[in-house]
Amino acid sequence: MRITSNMFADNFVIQTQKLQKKQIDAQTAISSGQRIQTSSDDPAAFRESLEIQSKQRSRLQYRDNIRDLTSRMEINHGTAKSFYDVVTRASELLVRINASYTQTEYNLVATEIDGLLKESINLGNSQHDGQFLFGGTYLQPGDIDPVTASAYQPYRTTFDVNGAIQTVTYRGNLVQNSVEIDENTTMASNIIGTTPGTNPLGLFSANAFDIFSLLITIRDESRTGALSSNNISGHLSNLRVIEDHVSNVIGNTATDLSRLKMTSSTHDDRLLTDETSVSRLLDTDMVKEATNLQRSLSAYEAALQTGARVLNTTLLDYL
Amino acid sequence: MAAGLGLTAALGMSANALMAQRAALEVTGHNIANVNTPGYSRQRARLLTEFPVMTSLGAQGQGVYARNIQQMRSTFLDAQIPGGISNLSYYQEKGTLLQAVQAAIGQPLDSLVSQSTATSTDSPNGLNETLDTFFNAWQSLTTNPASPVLRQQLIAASQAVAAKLNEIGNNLVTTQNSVISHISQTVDDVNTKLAEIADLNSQIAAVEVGGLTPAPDLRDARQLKIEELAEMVDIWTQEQTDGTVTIRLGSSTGSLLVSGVFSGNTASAATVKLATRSTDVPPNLDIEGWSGGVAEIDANLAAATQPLRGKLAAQLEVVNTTIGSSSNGLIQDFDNIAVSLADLINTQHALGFTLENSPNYNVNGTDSFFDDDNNPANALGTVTARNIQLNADVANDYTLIAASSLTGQPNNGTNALTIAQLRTSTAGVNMGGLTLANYYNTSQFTLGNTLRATNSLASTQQLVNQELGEQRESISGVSIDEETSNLIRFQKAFEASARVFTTITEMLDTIISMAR
Repeated sequence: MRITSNMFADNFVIQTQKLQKKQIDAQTAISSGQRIQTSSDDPAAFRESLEIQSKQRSRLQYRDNIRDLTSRMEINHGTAKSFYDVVTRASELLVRINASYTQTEYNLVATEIDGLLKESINLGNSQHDGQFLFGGTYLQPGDIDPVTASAYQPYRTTFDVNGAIQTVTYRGNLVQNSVEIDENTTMASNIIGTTPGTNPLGLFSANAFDIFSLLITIRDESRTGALSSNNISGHLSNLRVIEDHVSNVIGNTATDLSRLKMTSSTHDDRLLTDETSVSRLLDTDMVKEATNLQRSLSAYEAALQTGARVLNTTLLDYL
Repeated sequence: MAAGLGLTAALGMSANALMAQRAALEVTGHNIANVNTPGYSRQRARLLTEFPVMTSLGAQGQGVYARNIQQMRSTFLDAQIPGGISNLSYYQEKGTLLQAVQAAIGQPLDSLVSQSTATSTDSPNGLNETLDTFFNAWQSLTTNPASPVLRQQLIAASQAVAAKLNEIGNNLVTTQNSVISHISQTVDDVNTKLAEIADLNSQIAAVEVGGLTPAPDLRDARQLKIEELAEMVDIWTQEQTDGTVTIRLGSSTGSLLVSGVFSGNTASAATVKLATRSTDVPPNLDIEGWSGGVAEIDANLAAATQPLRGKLAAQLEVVNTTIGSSSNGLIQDFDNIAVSLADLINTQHALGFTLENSPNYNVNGTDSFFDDDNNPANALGTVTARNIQLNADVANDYTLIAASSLTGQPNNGTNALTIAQLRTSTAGVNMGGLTLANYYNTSQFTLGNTLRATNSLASTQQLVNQELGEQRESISGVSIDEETSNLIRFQKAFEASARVFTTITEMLDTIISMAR
């Protein structure tokens, strides 16, 4: 092949351009830490990374949901435990009653039962993060109850002429909200306060009766001396039903909390795995790139040296 | 019969030799002067032995003469190279434009996903992240459906996803308009080159009349123009017996662009013309009919003839096919995403209940959670990536978000959950059974893959062109060393011829002095 003067210069430019392109690619990969900057660098890996990162963001949201649910569930759990204490205290009071009790002592029992009733109502109207915990999905704090035309609370009370609580009515609804904790896996975020019928879904009800009416009955019978041993026996039996039901609720919330913890932990593990996958797809292999950079730098220096010599030498130099 | 030529003839022979060596040396100087001139092909003075004459010694040579100037070029390579240039120019231009399109969409990729919050809208995001943030905001709302903070967060995320689609839609149109203005420039350049080639055809035909006197420099200039033209459109060329070159678009059956001294840019002749956007959106290339001295080819081919290679083909392809319009290309892709997003969300949102009119909470969600700026009452049919926006009423009043699935239940988040789960819905309009994110990712993949393949083909074509260029350079290129040695060679020959001339002159003087 005949070699011409411009071949040296043209070839020098083409080859050094190629080497400089390799250098800038290696420099970009090393300085950014990523081998892929745009989809054209590796379309399949780019797409896969986008999809994995999308899943990661979903998992982060599920983890946020779980954090929120856990907080709510812990409060539900704590409230149920407090309510359990109320029920067991009521049972204790009834168990202590004996034939030697005077009306004064019955009145003391009635007063304490009334206190437990009020505490139960307070627990029933508990709020968290601007929501009633046991009102279902009905109205929110600050709303006016259209029936009573007063500030809405899930448990509405009426009083007798003496100012004693006469009735406690559940104004909430029976709807549970669901929150997604994993793809297509939801968990109820609230416990219903009172459920009619035998379905022991409501925290404060079981077997077609609720704690409030039971405590009102015990209080009133205690005040009027109508608390016979038969009645006590019946009430204790009913309290035990509620106690068992609350125990179940406490157990269920503990199970839910444990499940939330496990799911969150699973998300953490998967996030880590996803991060590793994305890293494998995107991150620069520093050793490889540093070697490539060094290789192209060496070739570039050699190209410059040979280029400088070849381009500078002609026959004219010897004439 | 005299022995030999005789002194007078010998004197003429050495004078001719001087002229021939001088001419050769001049050509060498011309070569050296043009060593770096683009398109230049080295030349040689064609030295031939003078026709011998019969003397008593037999057929005796009469020295040398410079017959003509010969150009060192390969017509085969000259015909091959424009095709390679068209291909390379097409791939390079397409690569550059696709890169601009990629930038217009602006999908960053960071190996680390922010661990702080899934609904964060702080960092610069692509549509992928923005869509995720939007659906995550609905997820968040399920944890406390009446929360003003979460509702405001959802409004911000909804505005962000609409703004991102607007940004992409507008960027694509801006990029498209920018390429269209480039197309106009390229068409002007094509017409200018066609006129220049026709003019050079005319000059070459005039110089080379009868085929005796070649016009190497004019041919170089024409070849250079042909190759510059090939950068813009793929052409088919054929040299005619009169030295002119006929040029057609693409192939031997393509539209005639230059015939003899006529080009598309001469008066009353054809022109490569860009159809106006008002009548043809996106633009197509028309070849107007020919008249005026050359047989008329199809009059007004009306968008039927498109170059397949060259810069112009890449520009037209990116404008018409890649970016496209509301009925094809990326504009359609992003319009589909906008319409699907609006359709999926609006349909479900309208089934829910808002926080309006407390305490009844029995108002259904507005039927256009997303809409366009012209027609807020009915989003579908008019919504595009460029105009999608969050319903202005919802943007101004978070209570209008219909998170509840049942009337009278402000704390119900079932509708919010259903909307959040639309993230995995494959029922979007024209989504081809893909989720919104998958559809977008696929579009990104296709664009990236096309760009990668284009860059790869450009690299391959560059090697082919380099090889062809080297072959041509090997034949036509100037070597300083070679020319310097020629310089010395012709100088020495000139000096020797001069010495012969002097010697013969001295011999003549001797003879003249003999007669005194």
